[in-house]
Amino acid sequence: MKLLSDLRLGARMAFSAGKDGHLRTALIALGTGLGVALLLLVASIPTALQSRSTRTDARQAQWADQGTRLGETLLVDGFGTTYHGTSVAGWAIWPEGPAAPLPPGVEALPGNGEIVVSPALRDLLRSSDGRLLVQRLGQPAIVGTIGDQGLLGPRELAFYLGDNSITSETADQRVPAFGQESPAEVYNATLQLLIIVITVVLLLPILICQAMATRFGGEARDRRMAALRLIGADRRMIRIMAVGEALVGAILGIALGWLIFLGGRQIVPLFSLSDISLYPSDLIPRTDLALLVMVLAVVLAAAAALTALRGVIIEPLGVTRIASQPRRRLWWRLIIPAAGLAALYPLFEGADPESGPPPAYQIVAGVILLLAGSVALLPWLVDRLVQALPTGPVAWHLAARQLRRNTATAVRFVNAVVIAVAGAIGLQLLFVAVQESNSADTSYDPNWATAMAHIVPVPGQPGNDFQQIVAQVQDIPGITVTSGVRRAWSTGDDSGDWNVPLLVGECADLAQYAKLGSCASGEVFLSRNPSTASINDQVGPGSVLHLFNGMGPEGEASIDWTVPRTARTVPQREDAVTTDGGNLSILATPAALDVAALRTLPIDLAVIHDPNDEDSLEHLRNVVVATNWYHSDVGVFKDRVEQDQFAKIRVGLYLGSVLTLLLLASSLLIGMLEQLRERRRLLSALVAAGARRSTLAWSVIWQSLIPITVGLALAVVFGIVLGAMLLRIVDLPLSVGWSAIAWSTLIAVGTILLVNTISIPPLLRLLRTDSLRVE
Amino acid sequence: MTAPAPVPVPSARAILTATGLRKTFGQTLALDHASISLAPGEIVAVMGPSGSGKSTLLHCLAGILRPDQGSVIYQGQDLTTLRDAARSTLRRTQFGFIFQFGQLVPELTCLENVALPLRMERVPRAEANRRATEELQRLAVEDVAGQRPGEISGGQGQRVAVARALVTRPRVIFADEPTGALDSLNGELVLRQLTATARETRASILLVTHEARVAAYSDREIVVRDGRTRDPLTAGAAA
Amino acid sequence: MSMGQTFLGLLEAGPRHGYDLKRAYDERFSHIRPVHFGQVYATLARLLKHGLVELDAVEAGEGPERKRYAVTEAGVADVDHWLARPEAPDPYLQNTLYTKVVLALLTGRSATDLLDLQRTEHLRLMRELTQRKANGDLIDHLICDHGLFHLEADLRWLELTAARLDDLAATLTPAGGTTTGRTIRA
Ligand SMILES: Nc1ncnc2c1ncn2[C@@H]1O[C@H](COP(=O)(O)OP(=O)(O)OP(=O)(O)O)[C@@H](O)[C@H]1O
Ligand SMILES: [Mg+2]
Repeated sequence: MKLLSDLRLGARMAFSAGKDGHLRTALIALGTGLGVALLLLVASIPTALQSRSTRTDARQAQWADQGTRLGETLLVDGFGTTYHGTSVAGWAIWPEGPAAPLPPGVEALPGNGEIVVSPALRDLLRSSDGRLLVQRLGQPAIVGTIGDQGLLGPRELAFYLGDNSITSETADQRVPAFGQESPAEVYNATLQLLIIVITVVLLLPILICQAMATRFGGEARDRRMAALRLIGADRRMIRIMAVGEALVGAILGIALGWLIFLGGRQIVPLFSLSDISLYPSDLIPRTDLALLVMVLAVVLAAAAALTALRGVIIEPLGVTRIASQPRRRLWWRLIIPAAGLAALYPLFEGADPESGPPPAYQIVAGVILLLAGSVALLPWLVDRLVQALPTGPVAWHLAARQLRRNTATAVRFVNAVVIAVAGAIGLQLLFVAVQESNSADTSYDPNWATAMAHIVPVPGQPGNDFQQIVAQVQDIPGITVTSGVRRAWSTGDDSGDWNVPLLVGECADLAQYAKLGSCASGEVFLSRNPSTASINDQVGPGSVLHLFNGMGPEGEASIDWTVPRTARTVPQREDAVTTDGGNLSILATPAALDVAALRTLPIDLAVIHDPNDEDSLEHLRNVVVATNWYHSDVGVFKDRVEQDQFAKIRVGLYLGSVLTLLLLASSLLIGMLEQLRERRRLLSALVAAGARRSTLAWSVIWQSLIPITVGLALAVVFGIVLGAMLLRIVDLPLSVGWSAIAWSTLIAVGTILLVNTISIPPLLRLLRTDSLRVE
Repeated sequence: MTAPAPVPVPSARAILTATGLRKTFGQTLALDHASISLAPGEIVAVMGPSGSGKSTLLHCLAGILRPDQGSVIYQGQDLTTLRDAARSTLRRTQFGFIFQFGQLVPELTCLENVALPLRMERVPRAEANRRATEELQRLAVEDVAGQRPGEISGGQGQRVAVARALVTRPRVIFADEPTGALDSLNGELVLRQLTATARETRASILLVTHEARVAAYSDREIVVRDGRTRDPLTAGAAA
Repeated sequence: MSMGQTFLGLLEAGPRHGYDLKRAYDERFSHIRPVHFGQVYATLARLLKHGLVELDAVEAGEGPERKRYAVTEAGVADVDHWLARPEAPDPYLQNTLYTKVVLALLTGRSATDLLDLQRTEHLRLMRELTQRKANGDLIDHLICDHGLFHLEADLRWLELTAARLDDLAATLTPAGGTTTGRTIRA
């Protein structure tokens, strides 16, 4: 077929285009490959989520029902915990008979005091880092590992602990079988936003780089096409050939992309993020998305090739470049970022985590338009600058002239850098803010508490006396107890329509929850949230309340109690942690009621832990879970580990920026050298005419530095705007992380200096008079 | 001198006739009332000082440039009214081109370059290569068949270009300073082979040159001066 | 006149009859205008007189064509001497062509037409030479090229003159004088 043979001819040119041509094809392939790999990764997210939920379902325990033969069940107690900031999924199990089901991935049930663990947990328990966890689990003997099919991910920490003390009465569940469909996990809207923005921000420069690479050797290609026109190729054939040429790069790129993706997949198990880790086999691009990615790569390559032809009329006699329009208008350049802002604006306030993810397409469009706006403004600004700047030395003068003559070319190489840096800044700002909001809830006062231990002592067990527990926690090195209260609940009657928490503690302890004013033993306070209007008016001085300890059937105890007439209403402390989001709580000193009658009460200990001693929290947890494993818990307000994790991700992002910029730098370098070669004759002629080489070298350097400087300034502005927009969308306060901006800019400046440095020797070589001989 | 430009006698014998061509490039009037006629198998030299419009005339005749005024009739078809695709087809099938330099595709080997017009006409590869090899042999450059244009001498390159222009057995060959970049000996070789083959295949040649020694290979010459064609015979009569 | 030295050179290859000499000379050096027999014998007689050739053998019968000539040592020396002496460049200044051009200008006639006509005439001859070259041997090539280059030189001068007509007209005629016949582009 004619079309095919023309395509083939174009492809043939790509292969035989000499050293420059090969370099160009390689760059197109590399750009395409990186883009394809990234997109394949994104295309794998749905399958990864799918397989994760399949894995979740597989180990979901079924509930016993009438049909269940109770002797053939497995008793299961939830035994999950957190260790060094990572959650550990765990269950205590004990079979009710020989036919008890095995959890997925477990070959044999552990005996009493034995444990079956995931490979990652096994490694942890065996290392010195896991010392406190071993202690918490009761020094169990590891008798087996959980197979892949029983784990959510390769880095998951999970265990099944054999425990013969579980009885069918106390067990959470009597499990006849594993495997049950559960509602799909809802992913955090912010996380989705991050994924979308990361993808766009990484992808855009890669795409630009690919488009730029398509233009390499443009002059030679145009000349070649003109030669073909002469012997009778019509415009259509020329276009098809150009596409054929670009397709070679695209197809190589797709192959390379798959290689990168499949290779990268193998190292995925080494990483875990927010307790999520993935098996390589879980990362399979969804077929339709993978096809879409490949078609996209081909279409983009073809489009880039055709666009490169657009500015050029290839006639048989040679190439006429359409002169760039002399006047650069500002208004349409402003429309592009404005359109981006307009696309993002409706998303403001609209994205609370419950209402589902923000619309991806709108975000993608907004981000792309906003970033494209920076690139649209660049030539205009450079033009303006060059005209406005005072005339300086000869080198400067030459550079300015050259820039004015051909701003488009000079700016083209900077575009990708501008977008990459602006995107990186926007992303980093978003990340800094998310990191801060995730790791420190700003409404809590860190001097009040950094962690909260909720302890639910087992009724009737020795050593669970309130004072004893407080003393034990107080003894942990690195932990200071700032407030210890016991908690009961109160209702007006037995209807259970409402209940109000009642905190029992000494004045000092209670003062952490409300602004008490004066306080003496025996006093009672009604603590109200001053910012909420609705107030439970059934509770007031003199109300008769029913108090209970909420400990379940065995430990249940309750008394009737009248709120003293002297009870004062006091405002809640805004910076205090109210473990119940209620508007009202009753604060009572121990003398105000008969605490002993309520027997065992849950304990809330607010503590401050030493941020530099991550084991202090683990010690605390060990103490807390010893009282009652699965009802006691430690909540951490400011988690250093979590912060470390974010810091790691940010380093990863910087690394990504560096890699992107290096890719850009290589194409930048090639572009620069190509420009130099094209201007060789002119430069050499100037040298021959007596111009100093240093002058010319400087003119070339100025020529690339001016647009870069303007570009970076634009990138900073647009990056901040982008970051601000994204923060508004996820409803976080804007805090300009200057260090993030500085880092991103520094990395870009470094890359560009590198390119300039590398291009100086060839420049000087070019400027030797004897290179005139060439041509 | 105000004598009107001579209009070629419309002749049934002519394969290519241009009448009253006018072409401007911006302010420059490159062609003005230029006329010329080419009989089958005829070799016509176009001479004249630099910048007089010789190349422009050739480009108009070959359908590469569209004149502002006038007509170019090739075998009854007016090239000035044809679409780009049709003119491209004519270039591919009916015309051959030899320029001073640079018309070979640097990425392809010499053999591929010569076979290219045939391949564009969907001649099977083997057949195209066979004919291209034959043509290279005729011009005594078969030993550079596997090399790229950048790796051979100017004279060899020009002979390869001639081979490529001839391989489709074109009816009209347009040669613009075909020996301009060659020394006398190589120029002569190229011209001899070009004209001999043209005579053999009864192809016409429009030979643009400012060298009389090159023009001497023609059957007659046309002079272009300031964009006007002057047929010396009729001009002499008019004077 | 160098016909004498040319004969001597031709005889260096071996003795020849006068008729052979003429044929060889015509073939190589005077293809377009063959020399007259009379001139050949006059030259040979002169050479004989100066002792540069000698009669090699006289065959039976009368008439110059029966004589065979051979070169003497003095003759060889004379060829050596001739070849070693540079030729004075011919200035061609009194060329008829030049005269015609200047005259045409002075009398207000179209010099351009004159030049074009002359070019046609030159090209006619050049085509002939080119044609001969195509069919001839190496010697033909050399002869024809010689002619071609000289003719081309004439034409180059014509072209240059055409280009300079404006200047020429200005020097030859008083200011505001006759037009040169050159069309001046708008
Ligand atoms: N693409 C173009 N754009 C502008 N002017 C042009 C273009 N092509 C030719 N010209 C002008 O048209 C006139 C005729 O040019 P043309 O190339 O035909 O001359 P020529 O006779 O071929 O000269 P030469 O012998 O130097 O090749 C010149 O004045 C030239 O400057
Ligand atoms: Mg020309």
